[in-house]
Amino acid sequence: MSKSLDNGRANKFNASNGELGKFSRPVVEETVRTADTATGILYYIASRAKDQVNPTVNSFSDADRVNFATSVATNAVIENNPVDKFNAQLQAPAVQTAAETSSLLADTENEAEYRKDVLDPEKIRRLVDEQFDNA
Amino acid sequence: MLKKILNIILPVDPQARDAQIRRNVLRDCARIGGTLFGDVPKGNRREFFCLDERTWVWHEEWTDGSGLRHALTTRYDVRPHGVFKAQDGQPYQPLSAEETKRLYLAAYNYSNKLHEKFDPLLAATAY
Repeated sequence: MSKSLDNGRANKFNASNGELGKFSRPVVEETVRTADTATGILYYIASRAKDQVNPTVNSFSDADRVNFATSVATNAVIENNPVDKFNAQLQAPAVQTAAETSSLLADTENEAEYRKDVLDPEKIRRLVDEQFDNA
Repeated sequence: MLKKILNIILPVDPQARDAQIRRNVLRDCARIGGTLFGDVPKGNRREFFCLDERTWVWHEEWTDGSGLRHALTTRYDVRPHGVFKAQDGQPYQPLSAEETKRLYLAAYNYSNKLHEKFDPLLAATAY
């Protein structure tokens, strides 16, 4: 247990010592949970446009994989122009190299299981339909 | 004066302390998110993070050839009928289908990175 966090003397978050204080632990838990939920919502939103998008990673076609790798390669080519680079990164922000892309896509072949374990589709749907629609 | 400074650095008020921890955790996450897209050139600053369940933020700072400093913040708002982005006060624009898919991939990687970093810590400090 990190005494520096627990006694409130040091409120900076520093996980480098491999510990979380009792004050930072719930914040970290909530942050990770929020990111999971937000990712799930994004997944759901993208999935609603599946007729145009085919957005699920594990349903990427070979052509999708090639296009994605190409866009990443293009990003690397224009590295010397920060503005263009930034815009390109907005367009293709996920990974750096084609190899990593393949690796990512291979990893996400188990995505259905990940979704099942981490995200509750009903919760996501409810959040989108209720929370957002009523915002 | 000294008390004021100490209260800022070491807040004893639980709400202030909580807010400070949240900011610091989010900063750490933003830094992790900034590494998803490749090396950040020296002098540049890049952050990508999940602000809340419906908002993602990208922030980049860099210096151009004439030494002028630039900063650009992109905010992605996830709405029931799609994802919209706004850059530095510009009107919201809907994301293309392709960009939505890639934003999702970035989010997916971001979540995985957080789990990679924090799961062992959370497990190690389980009460």
